[in-house]
Amino acid sequence: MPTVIPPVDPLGLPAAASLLKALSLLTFTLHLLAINVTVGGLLMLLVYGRRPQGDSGALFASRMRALLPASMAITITLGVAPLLFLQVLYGQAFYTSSVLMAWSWLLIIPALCVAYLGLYLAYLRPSWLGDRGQALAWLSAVLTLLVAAVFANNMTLMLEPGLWAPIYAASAYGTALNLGDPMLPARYLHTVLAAPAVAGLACCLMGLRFRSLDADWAAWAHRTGMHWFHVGAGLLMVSGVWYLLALPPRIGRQFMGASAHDTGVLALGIVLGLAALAVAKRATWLATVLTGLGVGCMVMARHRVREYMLAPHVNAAGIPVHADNGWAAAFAVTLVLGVAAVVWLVRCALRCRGSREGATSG
Amino acid sequence: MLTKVSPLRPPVDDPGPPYVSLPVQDIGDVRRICDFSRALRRTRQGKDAALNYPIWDVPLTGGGLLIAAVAVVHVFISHFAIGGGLFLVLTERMGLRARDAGVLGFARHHTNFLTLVILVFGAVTGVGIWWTIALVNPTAVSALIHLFAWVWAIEWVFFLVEIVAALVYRYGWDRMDPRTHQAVGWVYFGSAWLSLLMINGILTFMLTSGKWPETQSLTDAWLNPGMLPSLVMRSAVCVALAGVYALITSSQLTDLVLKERMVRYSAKWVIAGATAIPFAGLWFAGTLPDQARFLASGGTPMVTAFTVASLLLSGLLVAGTLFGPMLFPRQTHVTFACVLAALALGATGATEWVREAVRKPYVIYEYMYSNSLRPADLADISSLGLLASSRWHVPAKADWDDPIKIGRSVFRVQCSSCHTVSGLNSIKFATRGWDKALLDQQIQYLNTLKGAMPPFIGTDEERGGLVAYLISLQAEGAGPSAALPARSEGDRLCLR
Repeated sequence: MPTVIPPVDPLGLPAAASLLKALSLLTFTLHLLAINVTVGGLLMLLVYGRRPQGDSGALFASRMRALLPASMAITITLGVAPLLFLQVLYGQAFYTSSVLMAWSWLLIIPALCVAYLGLYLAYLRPSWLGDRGQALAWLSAVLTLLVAAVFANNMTLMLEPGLWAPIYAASAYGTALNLGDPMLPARYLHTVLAAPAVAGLACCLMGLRFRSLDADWAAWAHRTGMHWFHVGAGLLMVSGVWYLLALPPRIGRQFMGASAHDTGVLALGIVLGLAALAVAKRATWLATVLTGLGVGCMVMARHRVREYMLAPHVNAAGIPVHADNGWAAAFAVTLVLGVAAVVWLVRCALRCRGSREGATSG
Repeated sequence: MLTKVSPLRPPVDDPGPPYVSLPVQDIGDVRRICDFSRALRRTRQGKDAALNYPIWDVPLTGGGLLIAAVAVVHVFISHFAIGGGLFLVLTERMGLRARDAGVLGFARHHTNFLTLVILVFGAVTGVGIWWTIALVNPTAVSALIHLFAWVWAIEWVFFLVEIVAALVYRYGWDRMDPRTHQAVGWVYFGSAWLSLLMINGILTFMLTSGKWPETQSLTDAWLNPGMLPSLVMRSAVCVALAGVYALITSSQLTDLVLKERMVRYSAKWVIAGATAIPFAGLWFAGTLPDQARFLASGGTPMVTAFTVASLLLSGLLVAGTLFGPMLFPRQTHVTFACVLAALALGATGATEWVREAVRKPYVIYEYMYSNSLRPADLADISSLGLLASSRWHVPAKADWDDPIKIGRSVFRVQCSSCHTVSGLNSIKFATRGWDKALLDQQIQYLNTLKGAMPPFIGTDEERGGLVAYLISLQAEGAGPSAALPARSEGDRLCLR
C-alpha cells in the first residue's frame, strides 16, 4: 500500500522552523522533568506510603502527597507548549497518527482526570480514606503509566508514515495502537525509568529544604533520594543502550559515530548524567542542574530521531514561513514577564512560614 | 493496456516526497486517468490542503457530540476559574477590612473547592477540548494552530502563571501575610482573565473573521469584529458563574448569620453577571454575519430551539436566584444551589451549541466548511473529483464501477463530519422516503436548499454514487424509515 502524507498547512509557519524547534525542545525538557518528578514521586509514594506513623518514610509519603497534586498541575501545564509546537512543526504526522488511535488517545483525558482526582483526594482526605488512600495512589500510578504508554504509542506511530494508510484501510474507527513497533518497549521503558532517578533528586532537594527544621528526616530524605537517583540512573543507562540498539540501524548509526553532531549530543548527555551521579552527594543542586542539562541533550537526541524517521516525507524546515515578528516579540515579552511572575510566586510560597491569625484577631 | 501508459506513478528519477501515490493501477476510463493524473500533480506540488487527514469514524454519535460534551464542561469550569478568582480576592478583601474570621474562613474553604475543580477538571478538559477537536476536525485545528501559534503561545504563558498562582494562593492561606496573599490572588485573576482575552479572539475569529480574508494579518484575525463584545459577554458569564459556584459552598455554611450574608453575597454575583449578559449578547449578535443571525432567529428550527432554551434556562437561573438565595438565604439548601448550577450548565451548553451551530456551513467562517473543505478549493475539487483529490479515500480499482462504494466514500469525506449513518443526525432518517430524483436534486442544490450546509463538491459521477449509497441505506431496512413511501413531487416542492 502506498504511503500517504498530508500536505503542509497552507498557512505556513509563524516563524523560522529553527526558532520553533528551539522552543519545542526547551519546553519539552521542562515538561519531561516535571513528568519525572510526578511519576517518580508517585512510585516512591507507593513504596513508602504504608510505612508506620513516626517512620521517616511515612513523613516522606505525607509530604509527597502534598506535593503531587501541584506537580501534576505543573506537568500538564508545561505539556501544553511542546504540544503546540509539535502541531505547528509536525502536524501532518501528529494529527494523522492521533486519528488512527483516536479512542486510546482520547481516553488520556478521563484517565488523567481520575489520576489527578485520586492524588488530590489522597492529599486532602487522608484520614477519611484510610487504607483506601494507598489504593487511590496505586490507581493514579497505573493510570499515569498507561497515559505514558499511550503517548509512547502515538509518538512512535507518528514516525511511521508507511503504516498509516494500511492501518486506516483496515479500520477507520480509531482503534489502532503501535504495539508492533520494536522501538516502542525500549522507548517507553527508557522514558519511565527516568522518573525514579529524577524523583530521587527531588527527594534529596526536599531533604535540603527541611534541613534546618528536621535534621534527622532531612538526612533520611537525602540518603533515600540518593539511593533512588543512583539505582534509577543505572537502570536508565541500561535501557538507553537497549533503546539505541532498537532504533532502525540507519538511524542508530548516526548516534554511534556516523554523525558527529548526533553522537556528540548523545555523548554529552551521558557525560552530564555521569557527572551528576559523581557530584550528587556533595553538591545536590549542581547535580540537579547537570541532570536537567543531560535531559535536555536526550530531548535533542530524541528530536533528531524524529527528524530522521520523518525526513523522507515530512520536513519542518521546508514549510513556508509567514513570520509575524510583532507577535513573536509580544510572546517574548510575555514569556519574560510570565517567568518573572512565576519566580515571584514561588519565592512567596517558599518564604511564607507565618500565620495570618494576627490579621483577624484584632 | 492503459495501465502501461499510466502517468499515475512517479517517475523513477522523482526526487520523492512529499507526494502521495494513489492506489490506482487499472482504470478503464481515460477521463478518470486524466483526473487522477491532474490530482496527483497537484498533490505533489503540495498546493491543496483539503482532504488531508484520515477521518475518524465514530458510530452512532459522530465526533460532534464528543466535542460538545468536553467543550461544555470545559467552558462551564474555565469561566468559573476566572470569575472565581475575582470572587475570592474581593471576598478576602471584604473579610480583611471587616476583620471577619467567618468571611475569611469561607473564602479559604472556597479556595480549596476552586483549585480542586479548576486544576483537576478545568486544566485537563482544556487540553481535552483541543484533543477532541483535533481528532474530529484536524484540518481546521491545523489552520487555527498555524495562524494563531503566537496567540496560543502567549495564552500558554498566562495559563502557566494562572496555575502557579492558584497553587500558591491556596497554599498561602494562613501562611502568607494578607497583603502578599491578596497580591497573589490578583495575579491569579489577572492571568486567568488575560488567558480568556487571548482565547476569545480565536473563538470569535471562527465566526467573524473580519478583515483577515483580505489582509491575512494575524492582528486582524485576532482583533476581529466579534472579539470585544464576546469578551465583555464572557466576562459577565465569569461573574455569574462565580456566584453560582459560590452558592454551592456558601449554602453549606452552618453559622446561619454568616450563611445569610454569604449566600446573599453570592447571589448578587449571579444577578450582576446575568444582568450584563443580555446587553453584551445583543452587542455580540450585532457583529454576526447575516446568515448566522438568520439561523439563530428562526432560520433553522433546531438552532432556534436551542437559542430559546438558552434564554429560558438563563431566565430560570436568574428567577431561581432572586426568589431562592436572595430572598431566603438561610433556607437555601445545597441541593437547590446544585439545581441552579445545573441550570447554569444547561444555559452554557445551549449557548455554546448555538455559537457552534450558527457558524454552519463553516467551521472557520468563509475559510473552511464544516467538512474541512475550503471554498477556495471548490472549483478544483469539483473538476478533478472529490475522491481523486482525496489522499485517504481513493477507492480501490475494483470499486470504481460500484457507485454505492463510491458513494460511501463520498459520504465519509463530505458528510460524516455532521451526519452519522443511522445514529445522531442520521442521514438515513434525514432522507427517509426520498426517491432517487429528490435526493439528486437536494444534493445538487444543497447549500441553497439548506442554508446551514455546505455545497456538494464533486463530479456528477460522485453525486450519483452518493445518491445510490443513500438509496441503498433505505433499502437496508434497518429502521422504520424503510417502510415509508417515496415522497411525491408535491413534497419536493414543499421542501424547496
